[in-house]
Amino acid sequence: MKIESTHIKNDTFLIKKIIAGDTNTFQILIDEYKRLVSHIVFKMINKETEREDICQDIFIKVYQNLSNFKYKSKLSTWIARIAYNTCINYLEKKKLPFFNDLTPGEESTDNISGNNLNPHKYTEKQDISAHLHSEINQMPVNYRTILTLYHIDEMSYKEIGEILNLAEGTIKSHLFRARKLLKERLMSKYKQEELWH
Amino acid sequence: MALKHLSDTEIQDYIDGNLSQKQTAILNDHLCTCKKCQKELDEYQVLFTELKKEPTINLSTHFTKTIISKINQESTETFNISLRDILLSVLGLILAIGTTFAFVDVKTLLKSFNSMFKPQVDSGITIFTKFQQLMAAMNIDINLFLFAGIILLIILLIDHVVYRHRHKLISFMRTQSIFCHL
Repeated sequence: MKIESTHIKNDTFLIKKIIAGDTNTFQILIDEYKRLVSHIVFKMINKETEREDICQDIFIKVYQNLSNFKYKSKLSTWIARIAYNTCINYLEKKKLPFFNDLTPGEESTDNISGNNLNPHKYTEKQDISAHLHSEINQMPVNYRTILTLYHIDEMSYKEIGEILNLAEGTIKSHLFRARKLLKERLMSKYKQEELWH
Repeated sequence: MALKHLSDTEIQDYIDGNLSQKQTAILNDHLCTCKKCQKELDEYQVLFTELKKEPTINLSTHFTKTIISKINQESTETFNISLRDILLSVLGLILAIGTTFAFVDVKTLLKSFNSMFKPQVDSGITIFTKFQQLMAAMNIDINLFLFAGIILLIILLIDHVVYRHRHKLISFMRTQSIFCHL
C-alpha cells in the first residue's frame, strides 16, 4: 500500500509537469511505459513496419490527453487502454481480420500445426519458446493480449479487464482457456518430437 | 474438492495463487498422492515459465526523440495556425466593414434598428416581418441573404469533413467561421 501510494504520488507529480508542457518529464514517462506499450502493440499488430509508428502515435495521444486523466485507475492501465484501443482502431481501419474468441475447432488439439509438418524438420532440437510464441500468434487478438498483460506485464484480472473493457470473470475465463490450449499443443509437440528422434 | 482428480481450473488457480490456504492445503495433499495431477501441474508450470519470458522487442534508438520532435512540431503548428487565424480574421473583419459601408446606407440602417426595437403593442408585427423590413432597409434581397447562408453552411460542412482530420492544413473556413462570429 505504501509503495502504491508513493507510486501514485510520483505519477501525479510527473503528470502535472507534463501538462504544464515539460517534454523532458514526458521523456521519463515514455521510458517508463514504452515496454508496456510495445508489448501490446507487438502482440496485436503483425506488420513489423507499422509497429513503431503505432507506438509513437500512442505516446502522442497520451501526451495530448493527459489532462483528461482523472486518476480513476492506475496510469499504466490508462496508457495500456489507449494502446489497446489504438491497435483495435488500426486493425479495423485496415480491415485486417481479428476475432475475439476461440472457435470450437481451435480448442481441439487435432488441428495443431505440428501434426502436418514434415518430420524431417524435427531433426534438430526445436526451440519450445519459438513454438509457443508461434502458437500464441495464431490465437485471437484478445487472448494474445491477455496472456501478455498477465504473464509479462504482471497485471491483475481487474486491470486487464479495464484495459480490454471486459469483466474480470471473462478475463480469467479467456486466460484459462488460452493456457489450456497452449499447454495441450505444447505437450503434443513435445511428444511428436520424441517420436521423430 | 471431493474430485478424484483436480480440474484444469483448479490446477491453474493453484499456480496463480488464487486459492485460499485451506484449498491450497487440500490440493497439496492430493498432489502428493496423484501422479496424473502432478504431471498436469508440471506441464502447466513449464508453460507458465515459458509465458513469463519477455519477447525481444527492439525499438529504434531515436524512438523517444522522434515522439518529442513530433509533439514540438504540433505545438509550433498550433501556434502558427492561431496567429494566421487572427491575421485572416482581422482582414476578414476589415473587408466586412468596408463592404457594409460601400453597399449599405448606414444611416437608414441605424434608423431601421431604432424603429424595429420601438415598442409596437397594437401593430402585431412579427419578428420575421421586422427582419424583412431590416433587409429592405439595407437594400439586401432576403433571398440572396438566405442563399449566402446556405452556401456558408455547406462550406462549413465540407470544412468539418475534409479538413479537420488532417490537422496540418489551415482550415480556410476556420477564418470564415471566426468572421461569422464577429
